[in-house]
Amino acid sequence: MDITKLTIKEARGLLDNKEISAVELTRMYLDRINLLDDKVGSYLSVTEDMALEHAQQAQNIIDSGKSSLLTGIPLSIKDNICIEGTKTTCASKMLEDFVSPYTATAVSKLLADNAVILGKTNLDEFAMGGSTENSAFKTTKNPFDLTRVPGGSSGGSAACVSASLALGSLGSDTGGSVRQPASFCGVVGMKPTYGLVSRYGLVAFASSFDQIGPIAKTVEDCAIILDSICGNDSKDATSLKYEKDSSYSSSVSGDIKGFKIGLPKEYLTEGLNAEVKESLYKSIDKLESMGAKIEEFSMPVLKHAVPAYYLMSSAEASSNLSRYDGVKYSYRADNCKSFNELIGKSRAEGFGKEVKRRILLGTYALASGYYDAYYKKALKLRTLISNGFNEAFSKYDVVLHPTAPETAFKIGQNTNNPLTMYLADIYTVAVNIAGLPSISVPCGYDSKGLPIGLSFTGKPLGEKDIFRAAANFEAEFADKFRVPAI
Amino acid sequence: MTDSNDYIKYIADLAKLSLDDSEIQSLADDMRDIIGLMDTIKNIDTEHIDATEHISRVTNNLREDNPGDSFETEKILSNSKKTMENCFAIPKMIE
Repeated sequence: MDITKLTIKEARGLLDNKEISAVELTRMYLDRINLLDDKVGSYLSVTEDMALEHAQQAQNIIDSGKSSLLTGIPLSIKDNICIEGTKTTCASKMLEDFVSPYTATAVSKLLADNAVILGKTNLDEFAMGGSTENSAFKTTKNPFDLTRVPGGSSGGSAACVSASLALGSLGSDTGGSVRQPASFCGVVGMKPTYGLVSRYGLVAFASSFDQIGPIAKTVEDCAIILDSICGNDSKDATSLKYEKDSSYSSSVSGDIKGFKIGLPKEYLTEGLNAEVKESLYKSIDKLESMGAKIEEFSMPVLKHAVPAYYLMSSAEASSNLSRYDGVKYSYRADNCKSFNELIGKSRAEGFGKEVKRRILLGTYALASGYYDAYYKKALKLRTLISNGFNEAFSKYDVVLHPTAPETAFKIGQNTNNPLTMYLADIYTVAVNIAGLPSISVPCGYDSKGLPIGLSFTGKPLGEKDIFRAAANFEAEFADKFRVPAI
Repeated sequence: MTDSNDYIKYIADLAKLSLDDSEIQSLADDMRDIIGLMDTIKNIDTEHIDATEHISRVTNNLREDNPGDSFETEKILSNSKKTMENCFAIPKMIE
């Protein structure tokens, strides 16, 4: 059986019709990982024994006729999300030996639905980056061109779905880390409304931005995963109490005739690659031919989203990462004679360069004399950005924009230029600043054959609107899922 | 850029990062560009705008105060590189 075009929905049919067993399906993915992941480098650890055990349990559920949509479906998990008894490294030397003492709520929910966990995927260290090159352990390659990056920080998750090394994956999105790699790897990535998915067990980077989100081959598959992982959790005080009236996976049906779509003018200026822009305009034509009404609007504050995001998220990171002191569970420097030396050396030796930059920037923004000019100023911009989106959603059902200004770049091209990397987050960070849901779907390929992503952003708890718009677009997009030749 | 190196050293000390001189130099170079980008927001008029610390749409989302199971001590200590008598161990602080 060829699994390179298999979706979660199709696999569900095969499992329920007994055309394949959950163990056989899992074995196929494990074999493919063994065969191909040396080239792609998407996994940091493969949990083969656990996966086969889950698969056998799933088969028992299927045999009893009580399967849910994810029963027996092989998935992967970004390695900053905890699973009890397995390593959670955050791709950092700091947590190289850390074994999770508990399981993240999002993963517990997948396991309650008897999904199969294949392993943990690579990321930029502590989810800080947009290329997965900041991993302390390996560089993940883009399955469409192994000399290029998969995006980041959930680059391992996006690459493994793109290369059919899992049917779906959980990533985390603080400033675009699910959507941008999905865009680079030609798959679908979705960031839910802040608070829709519990952050319990997601290693904190910037707590008021972080959100776990699904990556899969189709919009419907992402909705199926979100249906499983969403919901209030008493272990996360920022978790929303929200009762949905129907499933997200059922929201993909229905047309978009009369759908009002806004396009921010500020996202169409310099820096947007010509081929990406052309693909965006072709997508707009397609959406209009489907009955949607598209209108440009202006939101000038979006120009300031990148510095505002980096100030706020780095400030939160500098505080969150203060827990890594070499004492309780992180890397510990040798031969330290004092407590201060132990902390300072452990942190200097355990963190990579990008993490240090963010800690320094965050500490700088919070330092006495700079707090009002940087951190507080950014918080005020957060108000303006949030108000701007509120105003936009009084007129539009969804907001449309590119996911990234360019397609996947060469490995090593930007490693010594952090500023270029930060500026490339222009289209994704405002969504996190305002806590909105957003989904990236493939909308074209450039002249090198590299995927281009298109984003639909919704109002708070507007997941159904963006799933519906994205699923309609996906159904009409003639070239919807190209299989990368690895 | 000695002044900026000194300032980065000061910030690194605040952040408990014991960096050597070559790393300070390299990070000071990066930080100059990064802070240049951050400076672009300085002149925006936000005088009458309230700050939004957190975008969360919930307040005081507290659980019932029911006792639950704690983690086993052994399991928690197992991730530490150095323990002693069921405690985390650190270098001696008092002579």
